[in-house]
Amino acid sequence: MNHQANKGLNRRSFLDFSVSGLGGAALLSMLGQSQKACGTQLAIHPIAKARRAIHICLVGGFSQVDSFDYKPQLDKLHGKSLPSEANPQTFFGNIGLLRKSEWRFQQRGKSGLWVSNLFPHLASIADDLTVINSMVADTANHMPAMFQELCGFQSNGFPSLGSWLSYGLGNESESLPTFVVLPDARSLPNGGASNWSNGFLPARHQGTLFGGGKQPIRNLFSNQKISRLEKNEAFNLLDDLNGYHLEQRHGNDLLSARIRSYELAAKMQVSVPEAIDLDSEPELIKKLYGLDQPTTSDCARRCILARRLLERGVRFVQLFSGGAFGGKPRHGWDGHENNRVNHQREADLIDQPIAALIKDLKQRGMLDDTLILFTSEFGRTPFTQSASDKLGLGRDHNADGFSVWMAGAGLKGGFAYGESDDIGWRATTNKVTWPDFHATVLHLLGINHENLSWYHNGIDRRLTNVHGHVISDILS
Amino acid sequence: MQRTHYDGTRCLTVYCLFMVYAISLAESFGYSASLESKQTFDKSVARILAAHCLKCHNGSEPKANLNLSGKESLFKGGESGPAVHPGNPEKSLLWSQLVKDEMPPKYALDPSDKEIIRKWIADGAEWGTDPINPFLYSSKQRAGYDWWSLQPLKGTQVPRVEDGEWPENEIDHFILSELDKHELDPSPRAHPRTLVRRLYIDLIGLPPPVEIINQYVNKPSKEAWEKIVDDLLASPHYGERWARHWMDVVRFGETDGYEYNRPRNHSWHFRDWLIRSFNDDLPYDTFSRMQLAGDVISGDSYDGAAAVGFLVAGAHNTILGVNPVMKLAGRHDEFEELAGTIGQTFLGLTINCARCHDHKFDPISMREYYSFIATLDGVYHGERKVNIPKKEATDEQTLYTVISRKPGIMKLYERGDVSQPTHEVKPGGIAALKIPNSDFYHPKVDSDGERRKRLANWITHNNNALFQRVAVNRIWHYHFGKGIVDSPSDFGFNGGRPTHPELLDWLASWFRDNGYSLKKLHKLILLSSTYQQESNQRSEGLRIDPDNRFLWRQNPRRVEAEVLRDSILAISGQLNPKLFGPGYFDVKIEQVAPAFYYTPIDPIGEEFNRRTLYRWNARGQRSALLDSFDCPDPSTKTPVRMVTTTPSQALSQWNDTFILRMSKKLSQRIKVESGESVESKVLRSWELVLGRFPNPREKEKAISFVQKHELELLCRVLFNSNEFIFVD
Repeated sequence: MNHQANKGLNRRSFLDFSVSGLGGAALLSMLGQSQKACGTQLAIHPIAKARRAIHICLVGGFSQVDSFDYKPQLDKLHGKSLPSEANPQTFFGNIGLLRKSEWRFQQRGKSGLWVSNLFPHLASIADDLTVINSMVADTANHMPAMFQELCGFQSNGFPSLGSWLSYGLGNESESLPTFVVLPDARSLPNGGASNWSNGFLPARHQGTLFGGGKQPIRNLFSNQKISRLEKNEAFNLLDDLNGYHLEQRHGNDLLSARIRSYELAAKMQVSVPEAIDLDSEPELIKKLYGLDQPTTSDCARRCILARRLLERGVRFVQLFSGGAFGGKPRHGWDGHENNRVNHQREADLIDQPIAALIKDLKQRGMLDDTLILFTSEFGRTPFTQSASDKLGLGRDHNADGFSVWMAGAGLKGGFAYGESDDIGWRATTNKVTWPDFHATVLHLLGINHENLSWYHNGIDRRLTNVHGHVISDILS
Repeated sequence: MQRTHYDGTRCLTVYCLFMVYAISLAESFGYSASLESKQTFDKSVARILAAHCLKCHNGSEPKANLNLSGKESLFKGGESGPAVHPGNPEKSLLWSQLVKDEMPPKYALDPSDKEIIRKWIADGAEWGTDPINPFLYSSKQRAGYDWWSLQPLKGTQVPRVEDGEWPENEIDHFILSELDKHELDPSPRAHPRTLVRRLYIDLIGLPPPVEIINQYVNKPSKEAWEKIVDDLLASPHYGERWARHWMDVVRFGETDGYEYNRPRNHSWHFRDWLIRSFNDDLPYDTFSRMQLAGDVISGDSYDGAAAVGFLVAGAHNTILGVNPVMKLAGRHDEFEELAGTIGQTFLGLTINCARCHDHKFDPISMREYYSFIATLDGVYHGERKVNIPKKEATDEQTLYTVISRKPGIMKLYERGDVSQPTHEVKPGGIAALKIPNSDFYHPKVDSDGERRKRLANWITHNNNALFQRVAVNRIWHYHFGKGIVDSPSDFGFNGGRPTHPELLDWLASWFRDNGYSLKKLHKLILLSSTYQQESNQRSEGLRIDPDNRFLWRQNPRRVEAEVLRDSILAISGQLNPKLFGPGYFDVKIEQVAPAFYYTPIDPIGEEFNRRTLYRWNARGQRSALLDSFDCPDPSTKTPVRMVTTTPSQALSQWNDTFILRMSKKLSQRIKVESGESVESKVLRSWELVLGRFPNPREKEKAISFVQKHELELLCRVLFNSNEFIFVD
């Protein structure tokens, strides 16, 4: 009778740590096990191909026709108008002439996957990429589109993909967060923490922002020096007081959990500095990622860090390419003014480090159970953002067809899925929506997207809302 | 009160008797065989079809193209042909599916219900009211008009239980009678010290001064308890505490959200209005009406403009591009959010779920959704100047409030998609509530203000049992850590069921009959023995009712983030008690192009030492300390705060610069207020932080600790202790 509410209640009252190793609360309830019964770490669901993921988020909308969706017809129509019956829904509404790509496309690797010269390093690992050329988004408006890309819904306040995974999979490490966010050094994306928000899920599922410096997490250390002795004795006293308090209350799970959280906090103070210390990485690795080059060093640092965090049990790392939509020059892929200059600059920052990350994961055998996602909130128009008789330099937002890729566990490598029309404007064959994309990501991580839910204000909410189909054609 | 209800029931009985008589009279004249079978159909066959079949076989795209809701479509049938052959059950697909248990897909129909269908077909399949309203009856899958929360309040008699001592008031009788049923005893009254702390935290969100605790511990009489309750309800801090709860429920934020996330520097008037309203004990129905239409009903006063801040407290997308479809979609996303907030806050109804289709779980149609948002069609976000009458002259203030415009024509959009408009929809309410005048649209008297005023009157109608139930349950939730319904903003199918339905109804009527006075309601609850129980676990209680659904004890609770910070400020002697006005900013505001960023900082100074509810609330801004104690982002409506325990919480509480600074301040205070000896310092620190003296074990440990280390380190330990952050 009371099943729905009780389900929510049990979840809510379930004692969960962000780094407890208790396993995923969601997974347990999906498997129908008693949440109280689990004292040990739970293995991921047997169907899982991937155990962890890195999500590279290109902010601003990166251009499919300049990167992964090769359109020879666009070369031919360069400088021509769109067919008159077309009615594009762009952001600024200036529909200029069609413009060919500035970058030469080539078939790469054994697979012959098309990748343009915008990403020469990624091109060298084309056989590991699974490109989707038929993505569609519900809006061509940055923030709602980005919320949809990252959180499944277009407005503020919904849990992000990483938060759902944290809830669904739990953690592998006792002393590191489950979900880490590595922002672009230039700025945070618009909306800030809304992009890695836990929404209505418990606070422990929100992304932990790792900044630079010796204290990457706020409050990891105190800015007031106390000796080891002082700290130990203070913690001992705290333990004693909490112990007496607990005794008088005949045992209480919540109180015990809090006592234990201090032990785990102390462990975190050791684990986090160790994880972020890149000095121990060999020179060869630093070079591979481009840590030694000013252009690539920020992304290289974050890519190496992402790998190190995954190695140490972090489930999900969200890595941003681009920050604010605005800025002069823009901090991201929003090539309204001059798409060539914009995209070349942005690609130069990330191409080598991301390719290196995949190579590095592969040589460590980690690519077999790690998923890499490379997405943008939407793509860009094949026509320029200019007067209807002008061939401009910029491209506007395009939600009707764009490209993303995945790589790693459980995927067909060197594979392109879905098609757009002749000019790479609208997806035509095998359209993929964000709910489809998210359902596929969850599937690869061993979760049925329809079962991963949380009761909130009247609805069992899902990342995929009431939609989503796993794209089985891209699975290996 | 109860008599009124009793009379009502009696009237109904008389009416029913009359109807039975009338029908049999009609029958004797021989022309109403079909009337009778129609009524039988409505009560039996229609009930079964509505409850078990129409979830899938209804609407414009029914499963297997078979729509069972209407006479014509049923007899026409779907993909497999006609569903019913009158007079011949065996040839009827409907019957064969039921009898083979192939339909309904997930469970078998009761044999008695199957027989009703069989007999109905065999007797010629006479139809009744056409089409069948799928919302009429609840089923295993959804709520109908007969759903418990949509019924009028039951005039419940207070159960009398044989326990001379324990019950203090009616609440206790209800609780005790339920405990009796489960062979549970209530817990004894908690220690007076525990009670005073519980009461202070509940009512004003601040710890009690040591003197008050001691006074009450020395003389814990009923009169003394009542006096503390009265004093706290009269304290201006009461309004601050309860305004903060309300801000959670109504997602009060002070930036736009979305791409630019622009600051709103004039939203705080709404927060101040809340504080004043709680402190003035503004009757809850007026309180609700003001938030929906204060600018209309109070003659565009400052209060009215501040109160409707409710309607514009959510996120608002200002960046919609040039495309008309995108603009309209943005507007409708806002309607959905607003309908959700109003429905959930005042009615416990997720009206927002009927934007793209009829509500899947509650009896709200898509048409009703669009009627509901049509009442809000003139509501826009904006700032405007309002005069505040002062004694000498008038003062002008800018408020972030509703900008009222002429409503347009509201259309129903197929699948919620603004590129698929269908027919026009007039403003109105939701039929399921059974309040008279849910069709409150008057074409001749129509404006944004008029629509919202009618909406407000409809929601707060004296017969709206749902409105009253939701209100009392919300208050109950904050006093017990859990509502009688454990989903305070959802009384629909997916929400919880009441643990004490009779008590809920009794409280709701009591509340209505006592002029919707929140303070009276608080007092009723706080004077009950139920509230004053100990919170300790007991083995038989844990065995029979581990979740404490029946309240055999009070629920121990961890304090909220705001209470934690406010208590630390108060105990350290640093709390700036200034009420009202613009908030303090604990963020650094930066701009990249037109977008705003809010980086948390820990600013030092008296103006920042105000209570946490005055903190300026940006969306997507996170404070390390408050966040780790589950302070929600104002993008989300939060009827129930979560309680999580994490290592980052421990790190924040141990290392946050605020905690370090306040530990130092507290140690300075103690040094001034106590004697020279280490012992007296220890005693004073316990008294201030925990409201008691240390026991011998604690004293011994603490003294030897302070002999070796700074006093402020002891303060830091105490601020981190479980006793400090839990309320028994």
